[in-house]
Amino acid sequence: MTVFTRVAGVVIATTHKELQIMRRYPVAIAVLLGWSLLLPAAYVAQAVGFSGSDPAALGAFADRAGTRAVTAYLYLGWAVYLWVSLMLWGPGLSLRDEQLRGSFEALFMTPAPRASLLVGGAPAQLVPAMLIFGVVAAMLRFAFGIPLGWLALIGGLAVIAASIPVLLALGALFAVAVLRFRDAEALVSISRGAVGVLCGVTYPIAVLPGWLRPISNALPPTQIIALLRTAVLHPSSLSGQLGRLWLVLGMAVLCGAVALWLFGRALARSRTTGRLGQF
Amino acid sequence: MRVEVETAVGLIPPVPDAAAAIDLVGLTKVFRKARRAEGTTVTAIEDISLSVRPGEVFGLLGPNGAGKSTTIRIIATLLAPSAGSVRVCGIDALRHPRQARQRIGTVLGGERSVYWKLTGRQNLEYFAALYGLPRRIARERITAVLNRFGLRDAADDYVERYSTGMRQRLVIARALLHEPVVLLLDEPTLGLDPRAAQTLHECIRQLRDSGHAVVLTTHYLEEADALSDRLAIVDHGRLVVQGTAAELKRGLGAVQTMRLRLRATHPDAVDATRDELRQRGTIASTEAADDAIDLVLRSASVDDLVPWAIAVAARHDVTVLKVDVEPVSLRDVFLAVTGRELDR
Repeated sequence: MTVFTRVAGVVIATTHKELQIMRRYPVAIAVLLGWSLLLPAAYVAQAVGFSGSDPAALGAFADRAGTRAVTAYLYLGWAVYLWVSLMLWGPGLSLRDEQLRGSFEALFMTPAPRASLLVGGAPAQLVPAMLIFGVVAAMLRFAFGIPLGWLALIGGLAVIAASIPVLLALGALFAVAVLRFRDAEALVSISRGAVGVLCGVTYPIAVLPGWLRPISNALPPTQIIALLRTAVLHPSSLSGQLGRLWLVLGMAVLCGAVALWLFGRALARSRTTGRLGQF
Repeated sequence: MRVEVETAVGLIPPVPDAAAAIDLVGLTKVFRKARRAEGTTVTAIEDISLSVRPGEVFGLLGPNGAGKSTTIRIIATLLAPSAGSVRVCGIDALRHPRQARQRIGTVLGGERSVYWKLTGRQNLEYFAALYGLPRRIARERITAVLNRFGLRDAADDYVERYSTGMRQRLVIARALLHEPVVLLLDEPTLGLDPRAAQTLHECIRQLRDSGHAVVLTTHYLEEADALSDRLAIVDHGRLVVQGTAAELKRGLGAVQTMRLRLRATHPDAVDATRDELRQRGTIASTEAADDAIDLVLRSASVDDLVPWAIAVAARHDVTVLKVDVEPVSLRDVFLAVTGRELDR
């Protein structure tokens, strides 16, 4: 059995386990889907309240955002935000839960490859994520009458697939941070705030101060949101975004390598200090 | 207070045993304290050497904080020792932890370490995958361990509905999924009612009989005595003495222990009583208890010493409030080698 098959076996088993638990609590997924519809609707209402359908206001928005489709812009931003939330702090919180429950050491007493434990149940989050994207697409198409052709749907799915590695890697980094600092709530708040403010979820990053824009551009969620909006709203322009796509994939490699290195160090340290199972 | 051990049973020298399932030599663990704490280090265990053979239950007996769990965690590869070596089935567990883990089943922290939101079977399926068992073999093993630990009928119930004893059995079943040679059980009966503990004891004996090397930590003397083929007493991080329970008891040079509670009108009377009692044994301890004195006499005599002891006390105008006589037990061994009772 190769390392790859061992890692794959553990990831599949962990995903299966997480889905078994998830299936017991369908209300949690229903609430998530509700949020993915209601939260952006509030922002759409806010936008309409501020400027109505004034062509000048829409023009100003299009200058900064590259589109006049405010509703689709907000819904897609929020869909990615929720997806990033699931993938980013899902694994970290899951490991933290293992620590608090007392099952964390039981995992590390098995010969399972450590990297597979770090990825943990993140792939299971693809299920609610796909439901979110499906519901949002249906909402845009049937409630707001926004045309979503095959090209837009395929492009959107391609962007989602291409961004999985970087979100897994970021989730692993987050998990390492949770293990190190043993305070998931504070880290979630910081990350949630950073993504909400810096990544262009509800407004174009062009409105940010100049010194903040490079930071915003360096964050993978910013790139994913931009790619998804292009794929869905301007599918014919997606081929012009290859540079951005490579950037996202490169970030995945970099973040993944850093996460693995830090995880190795964190484990070695916890074997010395005896803090692996402590909380 | 530590006392010198007046016993023939000494520390067994650390000879690596090729046939041993576990070989620990000179195991030491020193923790660094938090920066602001006084002192810089805490020695959790020091120079622990022991070996355990397949088909043997080895008890690690000691009070809370003695270093039992630290020893178990090092064998389980969860903790790196500061010095010493650990071999599991001949494998250097410090250099090859993954290979060692494949041969170890560990029960730590009791019944909290299972997923309460999954069924018993789902828990076992998940851990079978973590141990890399092929599906067909995993199914067979899961059925086998569920039957073995009496969980077959509850296999598809959620663990949150299990009793504490059932969860503990599930944890042990999980530890046996990959058929390890070595089984590490850290305080396995903690929190169990007597009946559940008895069932677990039976399980442990069966595991021993089927060839597993079992290391059991406990601070229950009776449990260590009843289950262990050999045992070691750990105190303040040091392995004080090891051997079979019979060897340790024989090492005391006594067959019975008499515990007396005495009350005297003046202290000299107790001293005189104690001096005369020494004619038939050794005084293991003398402690003030409220307005009385508790005295433990160990004797090699097989005679009934109660009438004699009461007569001695009467001669010195001392009242005997209570007297108990029992065969020498591990409690006496612990008192002799550490200078205090296990629960103090």
